[in-house]
Amino acid sequence: MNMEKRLSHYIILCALFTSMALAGCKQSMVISKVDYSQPIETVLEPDEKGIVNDIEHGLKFSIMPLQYAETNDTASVTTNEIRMIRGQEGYYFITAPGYKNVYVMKPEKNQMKLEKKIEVSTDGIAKPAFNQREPYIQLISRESGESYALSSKGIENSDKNEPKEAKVQ
Amino acid sequence: MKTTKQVLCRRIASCILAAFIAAGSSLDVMGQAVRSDYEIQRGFKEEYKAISDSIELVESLKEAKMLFERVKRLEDGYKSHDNLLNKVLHPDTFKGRLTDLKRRTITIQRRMATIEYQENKLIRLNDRLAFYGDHLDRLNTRSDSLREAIRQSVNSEKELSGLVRQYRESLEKRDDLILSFVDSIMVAYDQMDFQSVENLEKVRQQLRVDAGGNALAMVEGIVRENIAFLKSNPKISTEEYLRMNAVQQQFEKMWNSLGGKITSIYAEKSDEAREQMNKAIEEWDEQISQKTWASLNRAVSETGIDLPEFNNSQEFYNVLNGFLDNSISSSKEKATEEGYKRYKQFNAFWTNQIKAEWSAFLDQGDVLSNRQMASIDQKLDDWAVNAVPESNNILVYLLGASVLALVVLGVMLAREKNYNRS
Repeated sequence: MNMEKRLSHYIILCALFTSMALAGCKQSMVISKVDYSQPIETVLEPDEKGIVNDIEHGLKFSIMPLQYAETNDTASVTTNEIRMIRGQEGYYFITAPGYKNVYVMKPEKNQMKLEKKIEVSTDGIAKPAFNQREPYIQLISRESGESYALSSKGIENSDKNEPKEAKVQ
Repeated sequence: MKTTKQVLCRRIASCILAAFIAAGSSLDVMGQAVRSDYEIQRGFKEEYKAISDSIELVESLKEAKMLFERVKRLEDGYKSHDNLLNKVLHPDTFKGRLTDLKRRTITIQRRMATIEYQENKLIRLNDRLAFYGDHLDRLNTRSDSLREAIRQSVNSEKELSGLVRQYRESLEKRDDLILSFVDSIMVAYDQMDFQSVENLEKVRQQLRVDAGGNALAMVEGIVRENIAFLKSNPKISTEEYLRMNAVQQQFEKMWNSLGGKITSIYAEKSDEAREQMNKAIEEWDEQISQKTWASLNRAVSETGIDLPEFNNSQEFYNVLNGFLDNSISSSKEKATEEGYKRYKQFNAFWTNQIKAEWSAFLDQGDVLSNRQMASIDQKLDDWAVNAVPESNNILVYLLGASVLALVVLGVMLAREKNYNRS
């Protein structure tokens, strides 16, 4: 009788392990070398509540947390545009005119999480713009012509990846 | 020395110009240096859209050519960014967009070239119409004054006949001019691509204003003048009526073929104008037909040929055919002197009057076609064979035999004489 009980326990355990193993296999499927890079930055105008809507790429969010991080102010929307580009790895690089920082945001389920705050200027860049220069994101000041090669880690010192036309003449 | 100075001045000027161009290029390079990809693609899209929209608004060949140059500048300005633009324009490509713009600008250039050609042609035609108009007005005035002079004439018969001759010449010239106008208008308007011209409202407005060469106004004028002339019951010959009838028929054919085009160009309300003209031309047709057939009936009866009355082409042809068939049949039964006289009478009228003087007008005026005239000729030949009376035939044969006998006798006598001498 005991023998029969033990056998049935073993069978149940085996079935349990097999189903767990199968479930584990399903979850572990990974598509690698995905390139999320967006060829052109998106320039979006926030509404009075600070919501921007990128219809082309299907993305809608509030810029108020970014504004708070930049200015400590959420009383009203203080910028008339934000500039955003998605890098090869999938991070969003976001900034706005006059901002001192570029915010590297990681997309997650129903949210974007700050991956890195990159300080690019102590005074802020009045006319910033992003270019896709794989593997980096290039930030340029359209006013001064200064450019920075950015990654999710911060500012990269990699002049060879910077396109000539973006350099200061 | 002076030459050296001039050369120096030119060199300095060239250097300044070169410096300006270099500075311009350098500024351009600097300008490009701080343009982001976003601005580059936006610049391209905006210029593409501007050119694309402008194509629809082009109104001249010059504008079309300038637009083509603008497309080439767009290509030159952005070809270094083709990779970027290919990504942005996906599924289109930079090259595809440029090819499309070039194709459209070339098409519009060709279209504008055709329109300008048609426009010039139309303006030249209008000049020619203006000439016709002036000439026709002068001839109408002259005809009217001559007619008035004839009406009031108390002068001698010789002077009166001179006036009548001048009046007829004037009418003939006027009719020739109307036919030339019809020919010109047929050739010019028929070859014209009005689809393209119709799109140019400004050309139409210009042509409407330019009353001197307004084809519709001229057509109206010609029709009005002719109706008024016919209503005045002019005393003119059958030949003149036939000529005027031929003119009317040619004019009506022209109108049926080109009336739509002419009214669409020259009239504000095209359909209304066409309807009015149709009515006027119909009235002209009624007037001239009525008078021509009356005159032709009169002319036939004046010759003494007994034909039933006829009032249109088919009736005229049927009457002639019937007359010839009956005459041939009678002659076949019995050829009489009376029948032969009738043949000669009809033959003289047909050959000397109808065929010699009226045949062209008969054909042009749809009174009798050349085919119908040929058919009547054939029947007339048939009648000729059977019309000669038999008695006359016997006399002819006897006369012939006598002459032959006399000739033979003469020859024999001559030979006899020669034989006796030898």
